[in-house]
Amino acid sequence: MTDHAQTTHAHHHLVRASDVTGLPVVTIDGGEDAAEIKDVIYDSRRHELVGFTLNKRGWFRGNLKQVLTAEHVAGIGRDAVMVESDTALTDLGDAPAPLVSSDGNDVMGNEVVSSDGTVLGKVVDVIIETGAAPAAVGYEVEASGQSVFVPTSAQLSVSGDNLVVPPEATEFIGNDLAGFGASVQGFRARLRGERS
Amino acid sequence: MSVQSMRASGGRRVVAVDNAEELGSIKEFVVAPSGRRIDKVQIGGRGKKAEFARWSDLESFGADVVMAERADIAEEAETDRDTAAAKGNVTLLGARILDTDGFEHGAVEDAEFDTDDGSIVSVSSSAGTIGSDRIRSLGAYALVVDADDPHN
Repeated sequence: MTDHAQTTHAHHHLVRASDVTGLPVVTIDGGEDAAEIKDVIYDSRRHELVGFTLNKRGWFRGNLKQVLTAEHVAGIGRDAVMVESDTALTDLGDAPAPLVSSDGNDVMGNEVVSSDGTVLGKVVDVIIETGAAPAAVGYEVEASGQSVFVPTSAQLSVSGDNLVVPPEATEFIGNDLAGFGASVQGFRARLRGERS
Repeated sequence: MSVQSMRASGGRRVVAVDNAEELGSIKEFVVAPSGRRIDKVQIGGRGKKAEFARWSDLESFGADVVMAERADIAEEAETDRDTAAAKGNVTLLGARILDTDGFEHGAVEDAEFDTDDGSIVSVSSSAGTIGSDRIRSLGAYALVVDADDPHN
């Protein structure tokens, strides 16, 4: 018996994309590890988390001919990526283009430049807000040996070499991931206020 | 409702009501994919092949002895689930506890079940006790339970 009527109230927290790599993909309706996260696919131009490419689990590891799109994720935690069932995995032939070509992840190593001409550092990771609808909310930027966290926004532009952020983004840079969630919310509130 | 510990029930003798023959002892529990019900018990102690008794073929699950309706109820593995349980691949005791948000909460140290119908009442770990209403599934990788509702 499965309990399809139950809903999952996923909590929201922030994780680095690199921390998600290697996590098992586990089915809620079966308790089985259906796959393993190979890579996190982020569309840097649209600032969207597209999904995940997958490896097989077990002794015969290797590429799985299925992917996991972000909308089919039920939860991303410290120990696993949860999906409702193994039908959440999408065959490569039906997957969004970035998950097939895996060329959407060109933001790593980009130099982050504020539009007032200040170099903030280089992108070393993408920060994902977890939950039932996971989203990319920021970048981990390494500057002078230290990591800072910069929120993404619709105003970002990216070239493959440089990533330009608005000056106001620098007000919401966080020095630790735990406090970065509040910074993201503040930054979003600021953007909403400026648009209205 | 009479509740017993799954861990304490391991090794309990199984005796047939119809001829008083001792069939063996409880070796393992075959728990349904829902994680909420015992489907069968594996009976050990006779022969090399794993033998199972359906929960419905048990007359009573006593504190000292498990009574089977008849001496001929034991059967070989019928499903992959039976085989997986016998091999220790899908067992409730020792299962990794994983919530629907993707966080582990230790492993199942014990489970309580209703001896009337074999339903799981709760599971316990070093992190505490989880009622069966939060159990979503039991598989080879984990016992999946609902994450705490952040609004409670």
